[in-house]
Parts: sequence; structure tokens; C-alpha cells
Amino acid sequence: MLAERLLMNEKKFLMNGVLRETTNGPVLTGNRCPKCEKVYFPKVDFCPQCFEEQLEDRDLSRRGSLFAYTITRIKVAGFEPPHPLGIIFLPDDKISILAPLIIGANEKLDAGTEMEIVIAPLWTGEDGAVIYGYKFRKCEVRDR
Amino acid sequence: MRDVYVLGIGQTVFGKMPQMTPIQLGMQAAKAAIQDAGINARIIEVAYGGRSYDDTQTAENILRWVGIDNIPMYNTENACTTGATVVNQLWKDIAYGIHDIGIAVTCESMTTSSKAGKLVGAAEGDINGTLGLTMPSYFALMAYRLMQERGATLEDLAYPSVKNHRNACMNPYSMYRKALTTEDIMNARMICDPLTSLHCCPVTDGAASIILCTGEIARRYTSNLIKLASSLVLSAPCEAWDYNLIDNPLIKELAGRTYEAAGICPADLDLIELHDAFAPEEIAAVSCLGLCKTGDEIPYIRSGASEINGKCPVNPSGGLLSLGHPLGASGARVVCEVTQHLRGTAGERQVKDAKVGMAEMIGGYLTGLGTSIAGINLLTR
Repeated sequence: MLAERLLMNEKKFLMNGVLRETTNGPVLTGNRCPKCEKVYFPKVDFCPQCFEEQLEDRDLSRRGSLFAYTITRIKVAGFEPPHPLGIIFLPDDKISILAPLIIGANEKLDAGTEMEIVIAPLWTGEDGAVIYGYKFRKCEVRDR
Repeated sequence: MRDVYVLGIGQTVFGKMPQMTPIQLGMQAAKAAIQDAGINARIIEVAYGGRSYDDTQTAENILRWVGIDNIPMYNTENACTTGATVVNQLWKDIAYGIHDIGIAVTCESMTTSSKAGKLVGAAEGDINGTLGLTMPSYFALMAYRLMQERGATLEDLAYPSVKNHRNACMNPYSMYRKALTTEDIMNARMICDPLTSLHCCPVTDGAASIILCTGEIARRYTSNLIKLASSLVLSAPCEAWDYNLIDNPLIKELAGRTYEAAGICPADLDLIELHDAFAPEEIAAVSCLGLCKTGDEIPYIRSGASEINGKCPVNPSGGLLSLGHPLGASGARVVCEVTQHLRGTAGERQVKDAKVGMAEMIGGYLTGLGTSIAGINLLTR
């Protein structure tokens, strides 16, 4: 685990403050309003719904259910095609996350498929550096 | 509040015209609107310019060439809703007595803009945009939900494009006038599964212009009075997109408020011109706009209700799917189109005896908001 964490530290990430490695694997780091209970990802400075200033940090669920997905077949942003992208609903957090997916070449996913977060390379920058971020893939083990 | 009337409309052909600057396109549209109104351009008191990309001073730059200068001028960017927004801004000036007559002019050259050749995406720095979300992928996600939740077939998803291309064959303002079959659409190049290039609007250029005025002025120039009965632009409620891509709370609230302000109900509508940049949108819109119950979208479109001779024709112009979508201009172009139908001058594609028409436009994408902004202009005669 220590080795993994060290490895993560050396990687160049998509953006700061959205992802954290834990002993259980990577988690998205959001925050939650204690007053209106709304969860935000990425983090917000204060709650734009009820204006509460003191929000709690919150690690989002590592698993969620697939709400919808598509595969972009032409180059977009830094991604080479094909680029699968899906919406994952995180029931514990009551929010949906948009994320690139890892999916087999001819695999089709049904709505409701249980998905889990992984750290994965997203694209290679102009300077040759690989940019890492989060992706979701179908859970291999169904029990938590 | 005063009643506001559409006195003049003007637009260019919508198509690929990279040889023309956005300003030249805008000049054509503004000149056409002034001629259509039958006024001397010098009586215009205020001007609003709309454009989404690349440059400043749109209204000033266009209108000095058509004899309009030395008046208050304002320019607006509001993503795909830009055109609807400038019409709304002008409407407010007339309705609330700030000015008696004014012009809105909108233009865009998508073929020469800095975004040419790219899929239109979210605002720069938006996290979902950085992860590769674009307009076609957003509406492909909607298509997936329509298939999962509503039982839409691939034929259903192609239908708006088939219908709208058929309508465009009768529209001289559309550069693309070719009927397409469901097979043509399904077999075209895949962009974002299940959407092919023919479920998506083409990249085009164009401009549109509207002259609005008080009833007193309008009656001096015409007896065929077309009223802009209500006009509203609304931004999305935060975090609303999470739970349902089909049943869009922004469009529902916007439509409800616009109907109420005009004192009409969805059953009164004789036609709608709406944002069909991607075919699935037109399917989801029929319930959001109140034409059918939530959940009944597929049987509703299968009934032929959206055809030119149907219960409530949708996009008789051929829509964005055929005319393309010069972002800044589409929201004003749909007002031109609805006005033509209410005047009874829409030619072959005329919706018979049209009295009430809606011009709708939605725009943008931001994480947490989904479609960030939308506008409706509701016209009556």
C-alpha cells in the first residue's frame, strides 16, 4: 500500500483536490453541507444552496450504479477514440458523477450495472507526461 | 406593461459560407429585417447584438453598415440561447417602456470560428468537459436513457432527423435540402453511440435579425400584427441534471412560466421551433413543453403529432438538424420562422392557419447544471 501511495505521489493528475488514495483504493474527495445535507463534487467553498460556510470533507462512495453511458468515436479533449463516458449514481451520496469508463471492445453495459472507481491514465500531454485521473469499471466482485 | 410586436424579420441562408465574415452575415440579416419592416433605419432607438464566439462589438460593427448608429447598443453571449436572449432583452425594453422600437441582430460563423472542427463542449475548465463531455455525448447519454426508460428504438431516435430533413426540403433558407431515410441516419458515421453524424446538426454559418416595437408603431406599418406575447430566459437549477436527463426541470419551469405570462396553454400551440441540435432532444422536449404527459413521448412522436400537418408541428423549418446551428443566431432565427408561419408567408412549409407559435432554444453545459440556460419567445396573432 505504501508503495502504491508513493507511486500515486509521482503521478501527474488531472487536477488537484479531487482524488485521494486510501487503504481501500482511490476515492473522489467532495464535501457535504451539514445543514442541508447536500453533497458536492468537486468541492465547493460554501453551500450554494443554503449558504452554510462550514462544510465537511467527504470521501464519495467507491461504488455506484451506471445511469447512462456513451462512447465518443472521435478525438475529444485529450482523449484518443474510442472514449467511453458514463454517469454513475452514487446512492450513499445521492449525487451522480460523470466519468470515463473502462469497457471491453464489444461489451455492452445495462443501466444499473454496479461500477467501481479506479485510477487510470487519461491521456498523454504534449510534454509526453501521462495524465492520470479516475475512471469507473464494472465491479468484478459483487459484494462490498 | 405594454404589448410588443414583431415588425421586421430577416435572416440569411443557413449553411457553410466560410467566405463571409460573421459581420457580413449579420449585415444581410439586419438589412433584410429593416426592409421587411418597411421602416427608415434611423427610427431604431436601441440595438442588441448576439454572438457566441471570438469577437467584440457585434451590434456596432454590423449596424453601422445599415444606417444604424449613435444609439444605445449592447452585446450578449449566452451559449446556444444567445439569439433567444437578445430578443428577450429587446422585448423588455419595449414592454417596460424604455424604448419604442429596436433591433436584435445575431450572427455566427461556425466554419471559421476558433471552435471549428471540434465538438462543442462545456465551458473551459469545467471538470466534466475536461473528462470529455461534449454536446453530442451529453445528448447521447439522453438517448441511452430514452431507450432504457421510455423504450425508444433506434428508429425513434432517428425520427426527428428524418422529419426535419423532409421539412427542410421546403425551406429556401436551408442550405441542406435533402430528405434522409432512417437507414441513412443509422448508417452514417458514429459520433457518440448511438448518435451518428446525421443525428447531429451540421456545422453551419448564418445570421438572423428581429425588429420589435410598440403596437402604436406597428399599426403604422402593417395590419398583419404578430405579437411577442411572452419572452423569458432562465438558468438551470443547480444539481438538477443528476437524476433525469429526459425530464428537464429547467425546460419545464421555463415553459410553464412563459405559457402563464402569455395566458395560453400547450394545447393552444400551432407550431414549435425548438433546439434540435441532436435528435433525442426533440423527443424529450415534447413532454417538457407540455405537449404530452411525462412518459408518453414515444407514442406521442409515433402518432405523427410533430409533422407539419400534425397536432402541433415541431421544427417545420427543418430545425437545427437541417439548417445547422450557428450558436448565436439560432435563437433569433426560430423567431423569424415562427413569425413567417403566423403571418402566413412560410410558403410550401406553411403550418395551416397558425395563430400561436413557440420559439425555444436551450444552451450550454456545465457540471452540476447540465443544460445551463434556456429561452422561450411565444408569439401570437
